[in-house]
Amino acid sequence: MLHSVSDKAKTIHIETGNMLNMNNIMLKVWQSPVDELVECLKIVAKESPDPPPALDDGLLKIGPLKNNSELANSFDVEDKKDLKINVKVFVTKTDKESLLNAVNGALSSLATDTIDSLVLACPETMTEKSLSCLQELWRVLEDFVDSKKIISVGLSNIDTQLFISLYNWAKVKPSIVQVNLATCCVVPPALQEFSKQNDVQLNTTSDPADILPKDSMKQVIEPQLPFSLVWIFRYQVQVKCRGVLASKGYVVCCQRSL
Amino acid sequence: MGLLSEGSPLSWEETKDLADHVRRHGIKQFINLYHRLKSRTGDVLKWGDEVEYIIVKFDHDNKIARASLRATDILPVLNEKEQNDPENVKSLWRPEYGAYMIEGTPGKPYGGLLAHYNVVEANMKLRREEVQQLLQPGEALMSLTSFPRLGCPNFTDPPSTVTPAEGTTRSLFFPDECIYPGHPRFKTLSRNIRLRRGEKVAMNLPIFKDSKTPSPYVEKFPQAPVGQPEATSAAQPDHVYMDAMGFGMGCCCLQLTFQACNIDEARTLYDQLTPLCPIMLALTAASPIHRGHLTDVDCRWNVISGSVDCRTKEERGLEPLKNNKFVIPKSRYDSIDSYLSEQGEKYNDVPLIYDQAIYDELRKADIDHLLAQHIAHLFIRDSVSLFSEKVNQNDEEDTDHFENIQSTNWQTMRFKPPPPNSSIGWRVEFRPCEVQITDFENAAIVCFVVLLTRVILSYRINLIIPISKVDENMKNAQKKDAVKTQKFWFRKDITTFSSPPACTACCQSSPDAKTDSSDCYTLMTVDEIINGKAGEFPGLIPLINSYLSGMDVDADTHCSIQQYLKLIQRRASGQLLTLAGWMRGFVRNHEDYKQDSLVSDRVNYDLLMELNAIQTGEKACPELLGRSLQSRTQESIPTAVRKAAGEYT
Repeated sequence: MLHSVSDKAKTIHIETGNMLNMNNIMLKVWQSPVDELVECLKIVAKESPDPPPALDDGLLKIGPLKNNSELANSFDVEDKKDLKINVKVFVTKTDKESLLNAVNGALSSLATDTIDSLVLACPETMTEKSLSCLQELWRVLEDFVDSKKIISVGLSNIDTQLFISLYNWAKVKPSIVQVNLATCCVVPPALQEFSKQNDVQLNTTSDPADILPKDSMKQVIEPQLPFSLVWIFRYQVQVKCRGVLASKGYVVCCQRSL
Repeated sequence: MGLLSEGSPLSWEETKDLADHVRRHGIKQFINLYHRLKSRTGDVLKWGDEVEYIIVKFDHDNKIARASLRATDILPVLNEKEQNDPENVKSLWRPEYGAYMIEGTPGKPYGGLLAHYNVVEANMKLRREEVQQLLQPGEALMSLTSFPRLGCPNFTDPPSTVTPAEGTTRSLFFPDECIYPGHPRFKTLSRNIRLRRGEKVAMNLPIFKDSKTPSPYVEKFPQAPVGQPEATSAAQPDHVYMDAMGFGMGCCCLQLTFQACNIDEARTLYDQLTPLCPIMLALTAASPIHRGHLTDVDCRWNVISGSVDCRTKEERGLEPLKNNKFVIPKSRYDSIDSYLSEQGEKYNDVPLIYDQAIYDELRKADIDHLLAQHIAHLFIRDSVSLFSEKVNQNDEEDTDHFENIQSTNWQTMRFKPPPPNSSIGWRVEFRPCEVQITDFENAAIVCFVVLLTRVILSYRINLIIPISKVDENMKNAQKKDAVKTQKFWFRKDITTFSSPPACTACCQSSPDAKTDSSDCYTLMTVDEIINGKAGEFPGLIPLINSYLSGMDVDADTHCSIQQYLKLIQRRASGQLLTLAGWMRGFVRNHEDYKQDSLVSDRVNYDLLMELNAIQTGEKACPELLGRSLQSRTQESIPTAVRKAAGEYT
């Protein structure tokens, strides 16, 4: 647990590093991705100096662990082109800045010019009626696609009607939609039909809408500290055409509450 | 079942005289191909399954099911399609040992996308349908590990007769006409194995003692030729005696081959999957009946092993060595004897037999110790099939002599170098599984194993245990109800690299130290291995699920994979029966069964009719397949997934 931070710190990034190198995480059976993430963050927080040194720009970086900082395991991959970088962003607020920060954070943490696919997990607060709010976020992603920093974009945990409305409106169409199949095989028929007709990849995910609930966060950062969660992104690096995972990890961002 | 070179087979005497010639040039060919291809890298995942089938003929009037010797009629039609349109056929067909068998594989290998797991079952269905169209009334295509009444009187259609005093096999039970006549390899192998051995092969499986089975159970063999006591002398009391290659090579298997990205990955997968072989054999057990008897074993493995056991009495250690070089502990069809990766090296605890001169030659040619001893060990065997056209070869380019020995070492795993002049890379073949009755089950097994290879590579886990323990597991895996009653050696500490400091405290020792100790493996049930044991072992399926959660899976593929994994989970836990368990139960509960271990024509007919109805879906079989398990298999990869994969598929 992170007990204290310097007054200078405005933002905290906790980086897990490549979790595939953490046997105690990867070889355990987790009930949900939440448990896995929390356990991992606890380990990283525990191993960090207390209080950690803050940086001049107010960014406090915690983790990754020393023996775990290499981005992707080497798989005799000749160059980066053979890797596929997938990112999923979870935001707690629906403002543009948070998403912008998160994507820029992903590009810089992963030291890459391009993310192959980025999926935005819709906050739980979004409903069928949140189109304008989602459009605002989507424009941020479209800009990244325009500047070729993201190749394809998608959405997760989204109401079917909202997805269809956004799809019909969007300049850059979502090419992925993720559904949580807690009970296997029950996909909303309308979504199934729409994605089939429009060649949208209908993928499954085991992520709950809230990947890091407040109660869990309390196990990582001392609840008295005036910081709150803004965004989280998860990256998964795969070796193309070989079905092999080369890296998987999270970056969690908290900001000093005003 | 191996290299199908066309040509005129040499006599055994000629083949025998050329044994050293084949060996010498085979080794040279391997050295050349090794140096040509050792640095080949960057190959993508491609993989494929092989399913073997028996053509069954039902005589509904007399309620008899027979093995239909029609592969020679059907195969040419199937092969014609391939010749006319090799690029677009959905399936490929090859002959197998039995004249009642055929082998089908997908037209093209599957690729490295997760969505490929969802086309396997559909392809298997297509294959069946393709053959279905060529069948005659009363015939059925069945992926049946062994024909229950194989070798019983009158078991074929058309009828065939044994020739115990002459011919290729000289079996009391298995007529030469049942050997696939369309290619000379099969009869040549049968003859040469018998001649090399110096006698007929002999397999004795312990009989299943039921309440009315005579004890001791001793069979009489009136068909044995008069004045030839050796024709029956190998038969043991209380055992089911078999004396022909066909009892083994006439069985069907489910095999899969996958391409590794380079030679090192192939070595890793070869080693890592080795401990899985006995586990998968137990889990896929499907052959409790041999030559019309219920036996005390559930698997084909030892039957095949014995059916091609070409070792002489000297080599089997029954007589002092005089004409032969080595005492050889195993048949050329058996579990592997050595690991190939550095990680596996310290678990090579079985003395490896090889010719020092061959080993030295390989080492001199700059081939490392592990690979050199593996190849040298394969090459203790003589060629048992040689064609006159193939005797003289160009060792710089050809690999036939190498393949001659390699492809007649039928082991649980096979390490396969790239074929000459092809785009194919280093491959590994997984060979222990018994074939299941439905495409759903076979797809489940195939997907499970391939997914496991991805977990092994992604998480870099280590499953290796000493070879001697794998051998022990192979014996136990074949026992009746092994899934429920046996425990198997398995590695419990599967981590391979140092953990972050926070958890080092909870590990007793460093990774280097623990790999040497014997407490990294322990006895587990198949259930514990597959589904996990709280606090001790995560279980292979939970690991696969963890891996899947890190990948993008389309909903249909996800659904199918979950259904496949559920089948494996439930078979492992005993909630669902193995096919062997189900068949045994069917026979014992049949009204015509007399509790005497014998499977009559009538019981056999009803059993196969029932299995065929289950395979076609006409009948449900919840005790074997569960109540609601059904995949969402598709014939092709969805467009959206293909598009997303873009240029790299």
